[in-house]
Amino acid sequence: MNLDQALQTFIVESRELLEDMEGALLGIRDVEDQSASINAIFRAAHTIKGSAGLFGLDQIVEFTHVVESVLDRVREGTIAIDDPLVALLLGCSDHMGGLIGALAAGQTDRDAAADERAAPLLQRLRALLGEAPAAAPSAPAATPAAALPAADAEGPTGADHWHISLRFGREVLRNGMDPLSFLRYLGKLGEITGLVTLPYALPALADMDPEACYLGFEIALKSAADKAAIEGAFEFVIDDCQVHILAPRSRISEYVALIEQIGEEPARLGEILVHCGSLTARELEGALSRQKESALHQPLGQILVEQGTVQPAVVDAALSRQKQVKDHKSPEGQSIRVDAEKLDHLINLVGELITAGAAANLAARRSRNVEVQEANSQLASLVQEVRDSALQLRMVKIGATFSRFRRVVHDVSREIGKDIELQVRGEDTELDKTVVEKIGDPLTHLVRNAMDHGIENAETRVARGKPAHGTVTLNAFHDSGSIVIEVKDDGGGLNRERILAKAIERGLVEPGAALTDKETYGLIFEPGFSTAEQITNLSGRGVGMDVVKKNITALRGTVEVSSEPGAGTTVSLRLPLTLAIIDGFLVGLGKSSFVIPLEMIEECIEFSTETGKDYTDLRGQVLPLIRLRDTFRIEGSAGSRQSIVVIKHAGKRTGIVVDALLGEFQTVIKPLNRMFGQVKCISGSTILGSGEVALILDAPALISQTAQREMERAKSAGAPSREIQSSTVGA
Amino acid sequence: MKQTAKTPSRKSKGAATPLQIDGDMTIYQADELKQKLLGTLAGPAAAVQVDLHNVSEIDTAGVQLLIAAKHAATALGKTLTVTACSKAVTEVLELFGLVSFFADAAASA
Repeated sequence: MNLDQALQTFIVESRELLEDMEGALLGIRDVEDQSASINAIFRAAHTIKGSAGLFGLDQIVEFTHVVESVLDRVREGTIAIDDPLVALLLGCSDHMGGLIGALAAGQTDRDAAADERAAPLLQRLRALLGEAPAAAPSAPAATPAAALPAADAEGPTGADHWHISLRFGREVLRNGMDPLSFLRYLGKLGEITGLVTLPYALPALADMDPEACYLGFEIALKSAADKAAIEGAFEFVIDDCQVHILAPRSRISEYVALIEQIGEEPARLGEILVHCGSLTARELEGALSRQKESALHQPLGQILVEQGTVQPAVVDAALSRQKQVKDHKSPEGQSIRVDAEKLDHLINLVGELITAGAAANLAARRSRNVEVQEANSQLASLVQEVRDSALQLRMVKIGATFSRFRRVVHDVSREIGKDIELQVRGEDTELDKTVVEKIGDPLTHLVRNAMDHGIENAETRVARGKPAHGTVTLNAFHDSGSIVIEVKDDGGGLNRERILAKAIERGLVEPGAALTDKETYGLIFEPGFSTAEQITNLSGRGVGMDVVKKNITALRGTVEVSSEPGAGTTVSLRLPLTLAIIDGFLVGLGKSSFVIPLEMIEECIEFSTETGKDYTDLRGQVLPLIRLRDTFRIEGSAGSRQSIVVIKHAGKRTGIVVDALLGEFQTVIKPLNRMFGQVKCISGSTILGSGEVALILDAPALISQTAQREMERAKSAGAPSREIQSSTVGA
Repeated sequence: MKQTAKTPSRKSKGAATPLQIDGDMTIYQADELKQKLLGTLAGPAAAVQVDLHNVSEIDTAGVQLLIAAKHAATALGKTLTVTACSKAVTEVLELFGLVSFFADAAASA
């Protein structure tokens, strides 16, 4: 085996496990049943320790071992999981991440500096362990099952092993599965201390189908494995088998429930439980009399009603189980790891394919051979599908990125002493992996900024009649070919006057200039702009909002701020869905061709306007026009049949005047050479089927440039503002 | 391995009938095995002694058939006991907790 490769797998898996661990730690306060989260945390530490041991990574093993010991106590219930412990464990998970990171960087020897960093953590962990035995209550420790209503006054049973009740379905053997192998596997998970085979459904020999399975088992298993691991043993037969698992020291009532659920002769089953050692004879007596009592005193209907009330819990359990199975499967069973390079190569090839396809299409049309044209159009639609699936491969859900911010919010809220909660919406929204990778930093900055500057301190909030704890919301959704990511806080909103004052002080704005709210808020993205009165160690570190804007612009995206005094600020990032290939719409202008991203186009209409006006009437609404011929100084006079392409961006409609509409075109975006870096309103180029080059219009830039130009013109001419113009047109 | 069961031609009335099973006792032989067991139980002998010392492999289907045969014997007022086991059979019967069930003449499960 290639050890290097195995080590890489270890590193990747450990990182994922640490992410899971972090997620579980951060979410532990919000979940009702903590046992699942605790188990997930434990499993992460346990697995990392085990795998690290295989590679002889002693430093990781030693540290993780102590963490695991503490987690073990947490699982037993002897150490309560509270905020300080969560913070400590987060620190531990960071340290483990650091060790793994060092390993990934090629450092396999023991690192003394890391040991030093580990020391304070270890000290606190050991303190917990040292105190734990003394603090441990002599009363039965809480088990994971203790999450059940405490009102159930019955004490737990004495058995310290799992009780597993199995009823195999008829088809198990025929499906190639043998209960024997499951029992053997259980034997590996722990020690089977008692087992009773139940031929519960076995018909007479003459009548039986010798290939069907009629057996059931009651098993007592002494094992340190958790419920998920035990359930995992039956994963392959789960559809064909009834499995009931009772945790060690379950309550008698749970055994009663088990007996009722299985619905065979209660007395017989009870004896079996005694036989297995899961119940003592006395406990059984109590259980049966309790069951009898309830059966005697309640009419059947009432029992049924009671069963009805039991159901939600059962449904819940089933759902969480299902989720567990799903969660369990999604990373392993349903996805494969592919080298990002291979994927990029594929996308490049698809790009070439599209360009070649366009050339073939052109040739086919020229040939005037119907057969060739038909074959070609079929090919073209296939190419389009291939393109879509290939691009889909690069799409990832934004949820993973968002959940990283739970940690950021958790840490920062501690650091600055504000109680802030993170809400996440639209986690399933997909976007290109490259985009995801690049928005991490800008988003972090925005979130920190919202927490630090946006949300007021608790007293102010209470004084303003808002809940004491602040909320930062991350939201993502698709909107006309782009993805919009919003970072929203429910803080005090931006201070318009202060921004203006600062902007004037910095010489960004002329004193006395009349700016709209939007323009004013947009100023915070100017380089070197910061209104923070006090510089904390979060913001004001030289990385300003201007960097955010630069990063987003580099991705062909835009940033917008809206704010309401006293109610909060929302920063919206608008990004293209993909960076490689788009559906374009080809337009002609003189001898040149331009591509407009199809997703932005709303409609195409016939050109009509009064001469010299830069707007037209679109069903009673004003539609500002951009004359590409003027913008790009294209020579020659306009054709007799100009058209208007109506595009929509960020909620605004604009018409682009072109000479000819040439139809849809699959556009492979080729970046422009750096030499043309300063060129405005062009976002890239593409190659047409004929081999000619077409430029891709950067519509957002076009719109904003036109808007700016108009405003300047309006200002300099002292002309009536746009609003007044529009009313004239409307009238 | 092919499974064979030998029922001796000499039938001593009332005495125990030995039934030796060789080879595998798995789902692949289950049907054949069922017929053998039924045939033996239909015989006149009041006691059937099953000898499994030559069984190389047994699975759940095999064990299940033995349990059913034991039940059938009890229903007929006869007894069925396992007199000898191979290592493979012992391991499985131990895992299933059925050793004493097959060793005792009286059926208890």
